[in-house]
Amino acid sequence: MLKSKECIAMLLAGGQGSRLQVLTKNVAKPAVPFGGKYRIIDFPLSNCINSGIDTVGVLTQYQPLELNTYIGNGQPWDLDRSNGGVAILPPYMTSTTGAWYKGTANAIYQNMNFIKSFNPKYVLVLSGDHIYKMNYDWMLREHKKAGADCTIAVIDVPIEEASRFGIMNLREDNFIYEFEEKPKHPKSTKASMGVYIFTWEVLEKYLIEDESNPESENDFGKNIIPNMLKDEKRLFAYEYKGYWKDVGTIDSLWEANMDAITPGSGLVLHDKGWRIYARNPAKPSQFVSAEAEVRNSMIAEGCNTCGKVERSIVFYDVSIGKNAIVNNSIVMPGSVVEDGAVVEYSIIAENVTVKSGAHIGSAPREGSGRQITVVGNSLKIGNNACISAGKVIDRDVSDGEVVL
Amino acid sequence: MKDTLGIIFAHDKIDALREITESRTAASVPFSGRYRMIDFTLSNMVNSGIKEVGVVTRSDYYSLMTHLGTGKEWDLNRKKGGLSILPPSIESHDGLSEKNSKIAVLMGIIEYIRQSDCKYVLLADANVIANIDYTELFESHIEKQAYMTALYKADVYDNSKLRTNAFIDVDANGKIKDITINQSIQLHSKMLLGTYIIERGLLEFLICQCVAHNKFDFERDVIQEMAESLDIYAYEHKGFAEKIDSVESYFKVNMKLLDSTTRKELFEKGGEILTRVHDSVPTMFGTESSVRNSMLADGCIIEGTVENSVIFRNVKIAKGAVVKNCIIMQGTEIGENANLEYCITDRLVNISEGTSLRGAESYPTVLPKGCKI
Repeated sequence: MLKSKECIAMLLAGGQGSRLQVLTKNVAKPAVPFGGKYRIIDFPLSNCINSGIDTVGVLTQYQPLELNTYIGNGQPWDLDRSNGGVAILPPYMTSTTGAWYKGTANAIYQNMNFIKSFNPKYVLVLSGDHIYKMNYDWMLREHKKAGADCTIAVIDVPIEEASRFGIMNLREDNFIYEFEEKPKHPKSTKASMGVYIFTWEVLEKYLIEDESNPESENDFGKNIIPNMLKDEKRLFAYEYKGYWKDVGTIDSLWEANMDAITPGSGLVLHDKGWRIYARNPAKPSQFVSAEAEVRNSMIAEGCNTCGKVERSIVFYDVSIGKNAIVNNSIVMPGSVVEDGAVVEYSIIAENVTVKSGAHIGSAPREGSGRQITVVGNSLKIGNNACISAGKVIDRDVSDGEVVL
Repeated sequence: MKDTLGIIFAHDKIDALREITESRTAASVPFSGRYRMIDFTLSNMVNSGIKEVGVVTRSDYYSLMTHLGTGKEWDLNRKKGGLSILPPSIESHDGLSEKNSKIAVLMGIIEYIRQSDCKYVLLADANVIANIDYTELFESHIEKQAYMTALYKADVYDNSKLRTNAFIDVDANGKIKDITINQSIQLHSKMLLGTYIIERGLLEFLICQCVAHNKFDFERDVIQEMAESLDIYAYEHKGFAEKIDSVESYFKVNMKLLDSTTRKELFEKGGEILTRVHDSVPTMFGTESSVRNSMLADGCIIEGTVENSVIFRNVKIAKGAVVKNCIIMQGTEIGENANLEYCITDRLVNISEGTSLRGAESYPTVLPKGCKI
């Protein structure tokens, strides 16, 4: 008997995320650490399993090693299944051709055989660069109820920010009549969240058509959706009300992390009804020493805190020395902030050593905007070195050096 | 040591742990924020290269089974070998089910021991908190061509330890000369850690021999009685090792881990101590929280004051609450302005607003699982 799934998910995780600069030098964007113990991809993966979707294809391309190792057999997300589960889908060769994924639509096109093997009625297309908790099953229900060919999740954004997003213009019955990518003069505030449900029959046809058009960029936003609109297909907008953030830039990544420790931000990680799963290391409990001062922060297991931590996110296995100060910052796994070092308004990537007395970043001055300082993976910042606000460091900084 | 079968004794509830083992075996007693006691012995076995482990249980093993699951966290979910949880089999061997001794429980799993392909068996208690590489014990056993080799720890022990444990004296070659059990004055200072290595065939013979002679006490009837006639050797574990056998030692050893040298010795030297992972969020510290000299697992929300304490997963400590010198187990909620000192709260305890509770260092107050104050 042909196994059959009502809805399967395809997660686009091949993007480089170049705006995250040094943070994505060696890893794909979805593998960037978030919120003390997670990675960005944990959010869509957990949303899938919490929504009852147990078959997920993860399309990888850019720097896939860490992402592949992280996902493994999918066990942390309960996606290690005999029927379905998680499958990593890199680009591949065939007897006649073989190519990288040219665009988001082409990536799905190249994996049509994977989709067909589950004989689904609906396909959920997700991207791996947003932080949100969403029940896709509710969206699927609306999709079926509306009898739509495609349902796009939208969220209300402030009108002044609308020109940064793909904006959906809706009729009164919530069907989409127009889609504008980053419009200069937005007509609505409904931004696409990058979450699509397609009726598979319809999508299959459009993918094949789009592939045969050599002019096409093979992209969902630029080609597939406009083509469907042109053909007057039924495109429905599903309004999502809740926390959603694109973490594609250093600033938004920092903000989303801070949202996790800001009451009222809408991002609630402590919610047993909708847990976010992650591959967890087995580390001892964290230790907070007698000299330490910790306030308004989130600190994971395996950490050793002897300094002052305020309004910060500290990932597992981080050590913060005596008289060190970490405020308004994100310190990723395995990093060390030595005695007396100061880290302010910064993102410190994995396995960084900040030597004693070094000073990284600073609080925004009055009248000027916030500038986040970033230190890339496995770097060493020398004794008493000083790095000014807004710098992005991708090399070791020697003792006493000043980076302005 | 891949040719060694590991057997962990997880059947004992250890009466002196009082309320803590009311509904679980000593092996599954929560320890140091995120572990269960058995994690140490089990991880040590895995880190020493053992691929096949049997865990002997007897009663109240539900929490132990949930904790161990298929053994995947220890990489023991294998097609061949791997982890087996061995509950007592009721009908086998008349009268044995009454006996809680090691010989009796080993007789209960004699078929499991027989069907193993391993040449050696490592027997170990589940209540030893240590990071041990058993390969050294193994090598010494082979080198000495011993009948059996026991692991011990030399230290200065207080009276309560002397009265409840087995102590040995060894000759210059490491052979056991004498063993005293439950000594009321100090005769020897080398405490057995309940860890033995022996050839599988010899163990099988030993068990049958003992049962046939109605002898069930491993230490008394095997070691004490046979020490003179057989070559039973002892090997010293020089690193940190503590046996948890009472509420007092449970409290003391948990607190010992607030010392960074001890913590390094246990967690950073040697292999990684593995445990079942949970999906708790990292611990949140509120704007008015004050935490000093404490260990905390993930999933907690701390708004109050915590000093010299060990806090397990998903604990909530509200504003104004003060927790000092306490062990607060998983899921405990402490209300506003409550005040706790020298308490051990078991899982899911609820301390309401303004409550004040105080135990003593030598006799900490234990609040049993699920109680509401």
